[in-house]
Amino acid sequence: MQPPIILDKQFAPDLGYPLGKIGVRVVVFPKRKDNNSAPEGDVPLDLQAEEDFSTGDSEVNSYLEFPKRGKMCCVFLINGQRHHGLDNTFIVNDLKMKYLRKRMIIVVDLDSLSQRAVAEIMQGSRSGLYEGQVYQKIRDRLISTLQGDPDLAELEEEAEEELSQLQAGDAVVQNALDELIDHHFDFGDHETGGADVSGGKQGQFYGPDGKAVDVNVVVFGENGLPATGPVLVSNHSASTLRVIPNSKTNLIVTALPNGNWSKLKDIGAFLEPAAAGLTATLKRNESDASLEIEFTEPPDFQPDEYPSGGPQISDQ
Amino acid sequence: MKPTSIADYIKPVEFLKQAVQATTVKSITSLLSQLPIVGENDYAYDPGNPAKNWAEGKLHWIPLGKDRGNAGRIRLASRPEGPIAERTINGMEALIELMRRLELLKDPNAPMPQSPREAVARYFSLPPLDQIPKMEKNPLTNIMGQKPKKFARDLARMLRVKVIYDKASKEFVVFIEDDGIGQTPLRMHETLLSLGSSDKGDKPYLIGLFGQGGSSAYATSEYSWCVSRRAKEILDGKPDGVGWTVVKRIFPKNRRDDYFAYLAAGPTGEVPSLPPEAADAIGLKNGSRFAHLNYNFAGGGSAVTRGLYQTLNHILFNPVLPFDLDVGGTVATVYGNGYRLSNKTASDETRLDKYFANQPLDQQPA
Repeated sequence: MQPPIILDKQFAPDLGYPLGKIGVRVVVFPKRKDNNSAPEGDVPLDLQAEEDFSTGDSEVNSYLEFPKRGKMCCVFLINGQRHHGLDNTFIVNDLKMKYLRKRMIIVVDLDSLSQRAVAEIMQGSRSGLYEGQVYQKIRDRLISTLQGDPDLAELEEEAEEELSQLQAGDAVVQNALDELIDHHFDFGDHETGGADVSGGKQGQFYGPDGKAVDVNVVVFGENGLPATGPVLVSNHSASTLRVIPNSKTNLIVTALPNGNWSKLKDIGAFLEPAAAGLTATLKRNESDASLEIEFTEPPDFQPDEYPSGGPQISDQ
Repeated sequence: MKPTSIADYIKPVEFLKQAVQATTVKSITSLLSQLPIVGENDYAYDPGNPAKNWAEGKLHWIPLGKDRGNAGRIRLASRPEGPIAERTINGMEALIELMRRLELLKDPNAPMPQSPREAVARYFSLPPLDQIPKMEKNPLTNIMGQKPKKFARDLARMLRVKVIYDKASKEFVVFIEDDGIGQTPLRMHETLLSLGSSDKGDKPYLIGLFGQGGSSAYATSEYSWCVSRRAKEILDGKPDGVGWTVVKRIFPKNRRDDYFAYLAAGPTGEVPSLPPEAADAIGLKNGSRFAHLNYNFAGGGSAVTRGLYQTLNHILFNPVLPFDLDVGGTVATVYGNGYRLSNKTASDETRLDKYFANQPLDQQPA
């Protein structure tokens, strides 16, 4: 049996020359409210520090090198150019801030390093900093700076609490749902669906106050006669229409069956919500209507305002 | 030996107009076919005696940096976006250097800026780009009488990156253009086409150091061409004119050490030269234009370029100068992710945005 370790101490080497200073910027995003950040995608409360649980989707995705696959949420800059990057395991394992791992960007500015220190870490290949003694000093200082920050500690604590409440809340909701379903079958008179059973306010459910309330029973929408037309159709089947900046696109609308177009009394088009530079022009023709949509990028339009996060090229 | 004058073979104005429109391998090879070029296996550069076997009156392929073993220093990139960023940084330096030289013309004793950011602040009145969205929040803030964002956006037009996808040839071309100091034809081979012989060492206001970052773009494309014209105020006694050359990789017969070479007009390395009228005809007052043909992106078309804006914003996270990125006709200004993050903070979309300045490395962390 090995004796227990009573001292394990590291002595930082004195490099014999001044290293200079670093600047650090940390940005934390709020937790996203949409459904994509499902609780199960979050950190398990008992997660071990060495576990890599990075997922492809996070609040900071659009600030990583590649959407969905870049991991460099901690960057090291010299004259504003990224020379090195770390993924979010650094946030988890070194900063011990696992609850902020998908919401944090760290920028380390190395412009105030001494010339000698820069020479030690910079490589001609631009394939990252040389991970020697100077780099280790930078990393140590970065960790101590961020670990000691009360604002970050508070956000981490808040995120942990939020998650634990969410998980506790999940259990409560699940139990309540189970209970409601059980009661529903107790009161329900439609145990099987079917068009032969009439609808109406015959079902019972529990409202937010816990009291039973009448609800509409679902019925199949087969009452009445099948529609025969005419109907309006367009030449674009998708639900969205994409317009490349500084270009136009067309949409044709007509009536089916053929010959019914003349029965259409009026047709109009409007943009909701209106966007600067986006125009729509509708022209009614003999047998159809053409809608021309044009987007001219305004001079002060910011790249971040594009829904895609940036300009794109198409080879389609 | 007198350098070969290509004006003896072509009409300079028409030729240069055609040359700067070469966007595919087919178009550049067609252009080269008009010129008297010695075959790549018919002349081997000898650094001890470059005139050996030189055919007077013709153009020859000379290794970049006059070193046949240059491939290892050019094939540096592990991803296609890196060389574009490096080349863009060269453009920023060309803009800064122009301003520094103009400053010295007015005052030869003007102190040297001690960093690229200091130079940019002095010559362009531009703060670090990540500060601009925060400045913009104060309606009274202006730079030279303009709103900070507009001021930065206008500056970005001096440096342009353009990516075009040619559907017919299925080739990308990447252009990097700057309106900076430029270079005379007589010195292009010593600077823009050199390797590791950087003259930046004593200029703390410039960014690069190794003199080879931008060269990595030669390895990511099949052909490159370059034109450059020195600002007329700073010709340093050299004649005005525009230098033009083409760079390609050469696989010598019966050897496995490929290398990168450019088209030279003389054994001492000068590039082909064209008169100032040719530069005027293409609207080149001063600065450099690089084009990298059949650029080797992983994959093709929209899948590649969709992420280019985001990737460049990440690599040039907080660049000293902004630049315009034109992807398939859509132009956006790249200010870097530092700016983009500040935009989010300025619109109250972050929980924390905190700076820790001057963290000393010479003291033990607590």
